[in-house]
Amino acid sequence: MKSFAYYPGCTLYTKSRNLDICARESAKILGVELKELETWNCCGAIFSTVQDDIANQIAPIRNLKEAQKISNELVTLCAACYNVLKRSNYYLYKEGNEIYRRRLINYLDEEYDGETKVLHFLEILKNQIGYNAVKSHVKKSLNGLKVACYYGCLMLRPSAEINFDDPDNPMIMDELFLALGADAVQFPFKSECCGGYVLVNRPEVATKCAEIILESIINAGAECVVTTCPLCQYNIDNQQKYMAKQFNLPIFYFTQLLGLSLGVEEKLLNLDNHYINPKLLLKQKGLII
Amino acid sequence: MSIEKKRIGVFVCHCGINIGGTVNVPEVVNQLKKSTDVIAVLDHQYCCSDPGQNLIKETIKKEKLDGVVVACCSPTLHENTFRKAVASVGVNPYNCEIANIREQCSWVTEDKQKATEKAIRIIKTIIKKVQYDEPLQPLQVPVTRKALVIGAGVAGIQAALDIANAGYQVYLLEKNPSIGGHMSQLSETFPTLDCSQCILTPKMVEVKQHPNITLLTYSEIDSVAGYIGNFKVKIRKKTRYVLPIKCNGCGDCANVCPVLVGNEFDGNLSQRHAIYRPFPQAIPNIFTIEKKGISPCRNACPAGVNAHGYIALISAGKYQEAIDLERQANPFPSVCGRVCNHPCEGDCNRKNVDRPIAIASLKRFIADYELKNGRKLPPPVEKVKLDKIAIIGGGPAGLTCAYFLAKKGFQVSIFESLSELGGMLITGIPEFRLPRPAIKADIEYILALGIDVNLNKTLGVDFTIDDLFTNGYKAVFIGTGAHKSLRLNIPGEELPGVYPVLQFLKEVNLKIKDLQPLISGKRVVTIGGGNAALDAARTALRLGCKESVILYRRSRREMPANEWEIEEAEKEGVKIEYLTAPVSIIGDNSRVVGIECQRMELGLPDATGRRTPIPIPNSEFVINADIVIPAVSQAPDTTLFPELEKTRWGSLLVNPDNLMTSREGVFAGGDVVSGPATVIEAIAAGKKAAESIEMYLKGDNQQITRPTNREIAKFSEKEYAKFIKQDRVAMPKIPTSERVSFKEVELGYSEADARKEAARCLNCSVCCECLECVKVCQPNAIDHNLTDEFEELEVGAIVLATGYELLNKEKLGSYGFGKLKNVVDGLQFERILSASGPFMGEVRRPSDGKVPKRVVFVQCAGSRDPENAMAYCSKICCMYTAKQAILYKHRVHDGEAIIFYIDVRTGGKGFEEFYKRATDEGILYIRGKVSKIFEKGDKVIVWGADTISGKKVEVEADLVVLATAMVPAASKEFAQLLKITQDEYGWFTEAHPKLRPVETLAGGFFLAGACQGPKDIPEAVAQSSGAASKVIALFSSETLEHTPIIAGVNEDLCSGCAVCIDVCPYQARELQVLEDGKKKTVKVIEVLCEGCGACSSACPVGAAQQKNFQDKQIQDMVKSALEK
Amino acid sequence: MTEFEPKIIGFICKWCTSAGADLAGTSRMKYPPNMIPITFFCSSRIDPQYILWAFKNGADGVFIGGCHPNDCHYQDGNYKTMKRVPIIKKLLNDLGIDPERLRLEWISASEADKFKKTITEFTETIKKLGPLNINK
Repeated sequence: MKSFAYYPGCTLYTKSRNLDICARESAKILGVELKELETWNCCGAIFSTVQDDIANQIAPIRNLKEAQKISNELVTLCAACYNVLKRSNYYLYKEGNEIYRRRLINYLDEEYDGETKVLHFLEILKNQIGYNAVKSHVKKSLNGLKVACYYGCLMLRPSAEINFDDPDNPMIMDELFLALGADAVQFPFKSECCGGYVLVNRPEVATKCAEIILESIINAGAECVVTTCPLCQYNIDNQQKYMAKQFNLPIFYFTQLLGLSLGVEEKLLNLDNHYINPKLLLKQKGLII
Repeated sequence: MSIEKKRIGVFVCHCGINIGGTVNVPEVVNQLKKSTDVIAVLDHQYCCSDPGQNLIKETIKKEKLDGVVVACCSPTLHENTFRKAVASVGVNPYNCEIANIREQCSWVTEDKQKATEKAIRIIKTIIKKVQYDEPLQPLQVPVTRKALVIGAGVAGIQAALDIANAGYQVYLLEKNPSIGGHMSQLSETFPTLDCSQCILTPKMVEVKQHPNITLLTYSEIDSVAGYIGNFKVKIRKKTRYVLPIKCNGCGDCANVCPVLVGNEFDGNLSQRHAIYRPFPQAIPNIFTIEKKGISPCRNACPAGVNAHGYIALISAGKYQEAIDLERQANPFPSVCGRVCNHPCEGDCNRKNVDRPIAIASLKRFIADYELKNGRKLPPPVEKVKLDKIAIIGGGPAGLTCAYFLAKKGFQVSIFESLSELGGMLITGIPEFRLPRPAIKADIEYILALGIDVNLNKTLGVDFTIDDLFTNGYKAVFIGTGAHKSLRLNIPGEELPGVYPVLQFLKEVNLKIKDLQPLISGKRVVTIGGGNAALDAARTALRLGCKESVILYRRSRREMPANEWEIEEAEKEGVKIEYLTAPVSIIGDNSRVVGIECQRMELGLPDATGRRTPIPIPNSEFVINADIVIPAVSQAPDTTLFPELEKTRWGSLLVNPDNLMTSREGVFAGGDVVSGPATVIEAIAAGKKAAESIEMYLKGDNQQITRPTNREIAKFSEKEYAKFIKQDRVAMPKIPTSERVSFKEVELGYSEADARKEAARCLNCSVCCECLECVKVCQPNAIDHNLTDEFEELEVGAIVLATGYELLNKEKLGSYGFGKLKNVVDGLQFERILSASGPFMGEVRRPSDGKVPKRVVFVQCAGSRDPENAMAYCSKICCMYTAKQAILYKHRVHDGEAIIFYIDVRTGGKGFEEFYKRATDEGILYIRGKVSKIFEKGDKVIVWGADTISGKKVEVEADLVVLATAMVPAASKEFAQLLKITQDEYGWFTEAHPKLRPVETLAGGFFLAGACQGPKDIPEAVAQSSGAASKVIALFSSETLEHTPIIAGVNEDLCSGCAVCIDVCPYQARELQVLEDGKKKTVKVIEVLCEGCGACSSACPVGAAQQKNFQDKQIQDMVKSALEK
Repeated sequence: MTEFEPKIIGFICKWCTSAGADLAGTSRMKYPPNMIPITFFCSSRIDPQYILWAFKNGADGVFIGGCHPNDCHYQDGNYKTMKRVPIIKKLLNDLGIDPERLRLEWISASEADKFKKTITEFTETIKKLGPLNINK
């Protein structure tokens, strides 16, 4: 059983427990192990573009260093963590950043060689396990379920540094759900910002952004949304209560539906942890009883 | 090589502070003065200036120098200057060399001291070089005073005309069918708004009529050899399948062509035929057929039926033509339209989009249509050939063989053992799948050709093969099929109530006896998985049995019967027991009561690739049955012809090349050879046999030549993604409730259905070779068998005018990947505006042809965008966008035009005024980049920023025009073929960015127009004239100086091993026998030598020496470069 | 003591690498001055023995620059070089000279930056390897 270093991040221990648990369970079924770092700290939460903001950069680098105790491949799920960890690593070893690197390394108790590869769980599914293999493990096909795969901004941009998928038309999640039997509808806002970043100080803006996205998703004929980002999930799920139009769109983490179709038991999916109750839809589709 | 020491002078240039600023020139001078190799060392502020050159000349005279080193800038700049200077005072120019201490020293070094040291070393190496330099005289080579211009857009046309008008021969080469380039697509031109066609066409005509210009349209460069003044260029003239001399451009062919594909001249906003002329004013004004190999459907058919052909004809409503085409390869349209297993559909490329074309159903449609609308039977063919041919067996194979032989005018007689023709078609296939009239229709048509039919004549009973030959038949074809049901070989098989499948079907189909009472209310169990088994089971249902069960020992996946027939059977209520095999048939000694079965599981694949069933121990069970129909397989009854050799499967043995049996003159095909197979295979065999027999009677026995394999047409993943999904038209069927009778289940397409279905065809090979065009072409200009031709040209100069393309919209993700119908690029909008365009000059939008009331123009779409596309400015977009906006406003008065721009760049005569005009006409300019374009309902939403007000802008547009970046049209491969350097984007690099803009570093190649970088029309034309003038200058003298720095051979050393001859890329070396007639040495053909020096490093004895790059020279240069 | 300044000979072709070097100059790029260029018409003229001479006469490193494959001004000269260099590297190894001291790069007329990078890197490499001291 191949095992990867696994960095859950704070949100997956609190608000988005389901994102975390379903991933671990699915991984087990698919025959890979997500080994959680012995000790880990905040990823830095927001990537600081200020080059001398050393403190903000040490956080991610410590985690990357820590990972090497388990493996050189560090898997994460939260889009924000993924963004910060990967970019910090990129900047650290970017040509011309030697001095900055030295300064930063000085704050670590030990050397770090930048060898840790930051991977998103989706990359593991696609490139290491393979969607065909995933398909072969499907217990309940999502046949007939129309999902909109919403990627948000953090997983894709800046594309040169993240280099995860096409920032304008990402397909990696769509392909996964096609493999699970679902119908992945296409809509123009796959990678638009959901507004989550300004949710606290400008809620009306955040709501507006979310509304635009949900509208196009509804028009595209989707029955639910899947995402990878806790911020997006919270924003476009919870903010629906403030929207003029009642979309009633369930917002899942991709791991929830993945787990569901791989036969993870229902209580682990934690389907009550949603503002828009997803159970009705799943019942109606005969995916849960 | 011993030459007395040269008297060398060194002149060090300060080049202002360019060199002097970093290199300590006085120090350099002092150091060099110490050297014993030099007579004089001087320095000067600017050696290239007149005073500087005079200093050099004076010193040469004073010091009687015979060698000169100038330490200054790169030799590419002033080598000639100084060589001329020294030559003027009697020093051989090749004894003057440049030490590059600027570009490769002073400019790249910060440390002054190190720069100085490096300079000294560089100079010293050059001094050594000069020390051994030989005095050389440039070679004179003749110039071929003919030019080749590649690309016939406005730039190429201009260059060609200028050169031709100067009195020299010009070849003008264009890869497209017509000259004119992009300019011929434009509507009006900025800033004057005069009609593009109107000003271009006269020039095009002039080119055509010019006595000095040879047009090579629809042609490509195959290879280029030689050097400036003497190029040899091989041209591939792609065939148009139309003879230019005969074609008069009448266009009758296009009118009858059933194929429609995207018209690239209109940016695929309209459609054109497979045989086409890009635009009415095309030059040459002739037609071209586009072919891309062979369509997969046509390739898949065993009988070689041109499915693509008749599908295209159906889509054009030409049903008679369609069925005539069908009959050229297959006389059984009505039958195959119903029961063919259609391998064509299996290979149909459409399956990569949604589902294959319903080819068989279409075939059936034309057959039915012909019957319904009063079919005219063909007149009997005149018996032009005397030979009599006997066909034994009136099934599909026999009839097909007879058909093709009769068509050829042979005297054909068919001998059939049954009382009617059709073979397995009538005995084996039930009416609800293949009604009798459908079979009769085809047979009637075949017999109409004049074939003599003898029914109830059984081979071996009524006649023998010998009889036939004695009765004067020259050849015999055996097509007796496979009518013997194989036994199950299990106990109880002889019990009454056990019916071999063929007997069962035959008795029902031929109504030999009424089985209704026997079957009705009974349990019928059929054993087997082929079509015969399913036919039997379905027939039993129709005879009113209680239940109809099929036992099959493998799983559904392995079932040989056609998928759709299995589905139908299940719909009708046939039960299929998979993985079940009979062990024995149980009877109460008077009749069958049941079958003992055994469950199976699948083991490893066998020879046929199907997994072999393995019995599961003690899984036996009993199924009740009153009637058992074994339908495991059939075999030919070859006891009929004992004298012929058989295979070990009991079928007839034939020579696969010509289907002749072991007996001379006796041929065979169909099931009797292949064992039970499909109708179309039988037809294919009959057809092949007919060909072989004809050959045989002609007296040549060698295998018949089949058409050479052509490339099978397919599309790329990207292209498949572009096609719009549209599922196949469903075949109307009678409801299952009515399926108690033997009424045909499938009702067949209506005309509308057929047209709709046929229109789904992707026209994989573009031309479908229905040959309609050939029929209507009065001058007989069309020949589908033409092939590409090659021509070798000898020219002295080559002008590149390959021009530009627009950046593919698919590369612009945030602008919709080119997927949005109402987002067009600049050229497409030019066509929309053009009077000859897809909407005849009315501004309409592609999706629904509505007049767009609000159009958004996006400038810098892919230009000035280093992250996503091109970093450069495409230069023309600001102006053409303004022009298009103005033209739009003129056409749509209440229309609204909005332009997003980063900057408006109007550098050009009358440009700024034109821009002003645009703003005055109420066109709204918003300064800011567009971030996203997407569809919302039938609108296109544009998200952008207004960087002046600092606000986000959202515009609801009807149509969006992207001013996409200009990109070079010439590929990297093309550039490498010509050895022309390209910049990082693929634009050809000029010899000097400022001073030599129309030349390249490769001698004899010149640049015209946009192939060198984005340009508007006036610029392109100006540059073309520039290039032309360079060519004319080159041609002005009969000979040309060729560098003398070439290979030499020291004949004393040369052993004639000829290694160097192989390494020489120019074939400039050959073996010669010296006068004494003994020794062989290599000699250099000087004009061919380009002086690469490969030979010198290959020579094992140092006999080959490149002039002024001799080993001795290099040795000393290396030494002095390194000395302490 | 002063830092070791390697002696490097650069055998470069006139059409691509030398032109690239000129462009590096015109664009005022900076790179270590240790390489003394000797320009040939084509890299295929670079006789293997020249490389040996260079080392014999005290070069610490030898750089060879030619046109990119398929871009050779003389059709296929650079392919000949491409074949020769690995063999010479083997030979150097047998002679106890680190093959790292010989470097072949394809640098086109437009790749000033690549030229700069290559020369800087190569000089660094040689500095790391230290003096060859072949005659000691």
